[in-house]
Amino acid sequence: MKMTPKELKEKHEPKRPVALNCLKAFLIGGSICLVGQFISVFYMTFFDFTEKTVGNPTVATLVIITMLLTGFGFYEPLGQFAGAGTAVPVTGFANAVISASIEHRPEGFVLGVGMNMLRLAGPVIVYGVFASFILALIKTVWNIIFT
Amino acid sequence: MKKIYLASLISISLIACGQEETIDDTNYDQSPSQEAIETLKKDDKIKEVYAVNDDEHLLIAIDVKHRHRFKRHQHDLNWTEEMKAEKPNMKVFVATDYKIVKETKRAAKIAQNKGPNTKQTIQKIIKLSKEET
Repeated sequence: MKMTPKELKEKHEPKRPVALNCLKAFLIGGSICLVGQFISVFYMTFFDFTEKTVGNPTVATLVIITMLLTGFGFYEPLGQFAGAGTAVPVTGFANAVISASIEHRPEGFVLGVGMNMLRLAGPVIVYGVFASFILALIKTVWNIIFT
Repeated sequence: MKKIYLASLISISLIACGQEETIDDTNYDQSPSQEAIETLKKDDKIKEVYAVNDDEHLLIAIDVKHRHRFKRHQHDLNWTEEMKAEKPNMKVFVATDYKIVKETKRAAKIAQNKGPNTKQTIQKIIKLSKEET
């Protein structure tokens, strides 16, 4: 019996533990968010930040922590273990930028780091800005019509 | 010449050190705050409520129960309207922000113990609550 490449792939591909992957992503991703919450509360308790203004320093701190973890090689094994749990929070974005920078460092600062640091993170920025624009447009139209 | 510079530097430093912050020790009657607390405490969406006032402003900070936090903005507007109707002669500020709740709790405690600078503290908290970035 002849099999198509797709059928052959489906037959021999090892089954992915989807439920276990989800659980790992939930636990590690949740832990990262918990750390973010602790940082927010720290800034609100010891500095003059409100819930509205604390987002920026919290994100900056998480990015700096991820930068250090990526640079010292701790983030990669965590990413392999947790998958989407480390990719979805802002730390995943920071990791994508920093790891690309480290990888292309031997090619120089301009043609290496400068050209490649946003190769992975670029689409996130493009679609993030685009999605924000669309949502803002919908909200504005909604407010004009219904309020 | 060098001595003159040195003398003027020391005298400027001493003048700067000698300046004291003005302390406003006016005690404001906290009954408007207490009345606001009594009214708002009846609402089952509220976990804790703190309030402090001077002769002009009434600052109310509300710790909302967790399951009602999603509609916090709407509740905020309702409570502001309610309090403005109850205290029409005061400038009412209602906040549900974590930081504002903490600061108002501290300010209310100081005001109840007849502590100083109530007016300045209230103005500082209101300014903080209006910050956007």
